[in-house]
Amino acid sequence: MARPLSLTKPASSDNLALFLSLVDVLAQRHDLPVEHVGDLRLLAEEACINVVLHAFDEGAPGEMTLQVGFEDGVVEIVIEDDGRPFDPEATPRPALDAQWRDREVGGLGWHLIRRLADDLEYRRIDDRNRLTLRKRVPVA
Amino acid sequence: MRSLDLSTSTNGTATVVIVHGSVDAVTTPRLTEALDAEVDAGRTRLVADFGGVDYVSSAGLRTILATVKRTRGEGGDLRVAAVQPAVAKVFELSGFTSIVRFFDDVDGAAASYE
Repeated sequence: MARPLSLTKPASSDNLALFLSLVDVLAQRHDLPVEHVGDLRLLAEEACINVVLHAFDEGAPGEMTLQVGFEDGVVEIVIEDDGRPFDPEATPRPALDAQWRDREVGGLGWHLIRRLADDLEYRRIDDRNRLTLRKRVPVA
Repeated sequence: MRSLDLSTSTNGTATVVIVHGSVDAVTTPRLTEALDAEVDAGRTRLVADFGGVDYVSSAGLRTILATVKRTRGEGGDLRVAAVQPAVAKVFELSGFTSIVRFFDDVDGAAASYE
């Protein structure tokens, strides 16, 4: 893969815009079709916000690394952190056919990741979480 | 840096919140605050003009559903108008098309309250 873009910063919401700007830089560098950039941004945002909100104790964020790269028509988004482990399979699955009164507010982030990513891989390595999301992005 | 611009107007009996930019985890707290302020002031017939919105994430969806529930609980609603195709896709993936009322334009959404 061509050298991916990478950023390591404390996993706080203050740094979220900076993390997500990596996706825009990648899209510009590889001239990715604009209709796919929103999906890529959404995948990165939902995965990063999951770490920001759930991986660490409140007020004590550890570091998070976001890495984004593009090769052979596939964008790869990798998020690493040394926070508490999680199980993507145990994340909530919203009741999409529920009436509005019964719909839970929230819980849609992982649902969107599952729907938008072509491939999702989670590994716990040396007390670190490593989530890899891949999405095919055809370019002219 | 993505931005979010908000303004409000009235259209008939509806209060229109005009949303422009990116409705993401960074910017959504301001949208939440704006919508809550309208409901707090007793204005529960709301229209969100999404014509200028090019991105929405789960943070924005959360605020929209919370406001729909709150306004309907008080006899009003939050109706969403002029959604761009890329944003409509996120609403559809999230199952919002069956629980939120969408309109092609702001006038139609406002008129639906009459």
